[in-house]
Amino acid sequence: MTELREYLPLIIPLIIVQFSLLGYTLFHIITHKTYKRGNRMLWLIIVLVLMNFIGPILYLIFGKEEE
Amino acid sequence: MRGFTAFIEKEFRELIRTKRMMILLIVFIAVGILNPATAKLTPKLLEMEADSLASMGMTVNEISITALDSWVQFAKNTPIVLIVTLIIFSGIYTSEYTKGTLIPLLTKGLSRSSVVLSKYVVMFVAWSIGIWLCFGITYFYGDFYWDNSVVKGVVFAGFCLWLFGVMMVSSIVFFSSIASSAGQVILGAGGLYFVMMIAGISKKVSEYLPTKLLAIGSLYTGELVPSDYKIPAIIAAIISVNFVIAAFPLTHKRQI
Repeated sequence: MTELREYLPLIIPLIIVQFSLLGYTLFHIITHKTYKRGNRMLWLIIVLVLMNFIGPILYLIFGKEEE
Repeated sequence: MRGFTAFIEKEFRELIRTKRMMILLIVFIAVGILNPATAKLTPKLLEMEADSLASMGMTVNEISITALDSWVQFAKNTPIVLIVTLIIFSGIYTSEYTKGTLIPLLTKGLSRSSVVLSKYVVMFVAWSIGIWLCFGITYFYGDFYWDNSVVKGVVFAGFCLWLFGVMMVSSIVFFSSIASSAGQVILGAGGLYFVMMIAGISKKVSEYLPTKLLAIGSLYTGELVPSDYKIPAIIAAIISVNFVIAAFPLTHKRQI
């Protein structure tokens, strides 16, 4: 337990950043009908499978439409 | 001048409203935390794998992790962040050219030079904020867990990476003035890096190439001193300035 506490200062901010990014991305995918490339199912799978930053960032760069 | 300030304001607004700034900041913050996290977790991971490694004939001894490991991760991960930055900014000029959104502004008297320059300033500022934020987070954790003083030339190494990034950002300005799509811009910037890497195979040439600015691992351990990086740093600065200067006449001639 004490060991885990040592890692907490690293883990907590990482989790906050990661899940806020994931939440925002999922929200954006679900509330939009059209994307630059691909469709909703494809992006949901990519974002959920590669949820460690890579998926959401891929979506925000290549999938999100500019409005 | 008024056109320039107005356009730069528009660019910053666009950066924030299209959420590009948010993506960049998240990537930089995440990598900033991941650098020390990777260093911190390495012994733990090796310990967990000790059994399977032992069956392959490898024994794991106590490994002591210092701030150096965290900074080596910083040197390794920064190019990845740079690639993300370049991809995000690759269409900054060409999308406006192809969509024709610049035409109303240009016919009202906005000079093309202000367009080139203000977009460059936006990219420059975004990259500078990002890399030093990433640097700051890694530095904070370095002091928090270990001691940064065992690592040499930390700030100068950060400066090297920053300068290399500035050069790549300038190459986007240059390639955007001749390319017609974001893909071509990325291809140009990637091609530039590729050419430098191929040329760097020769040991003699690599001493002068800006790609040396990425190899800062030996700076941390003290094998090399900052003055060894003087020539590549100057060359990188000259290349960046020339890229931006060359973009002006090319953009002026360009059909929009």
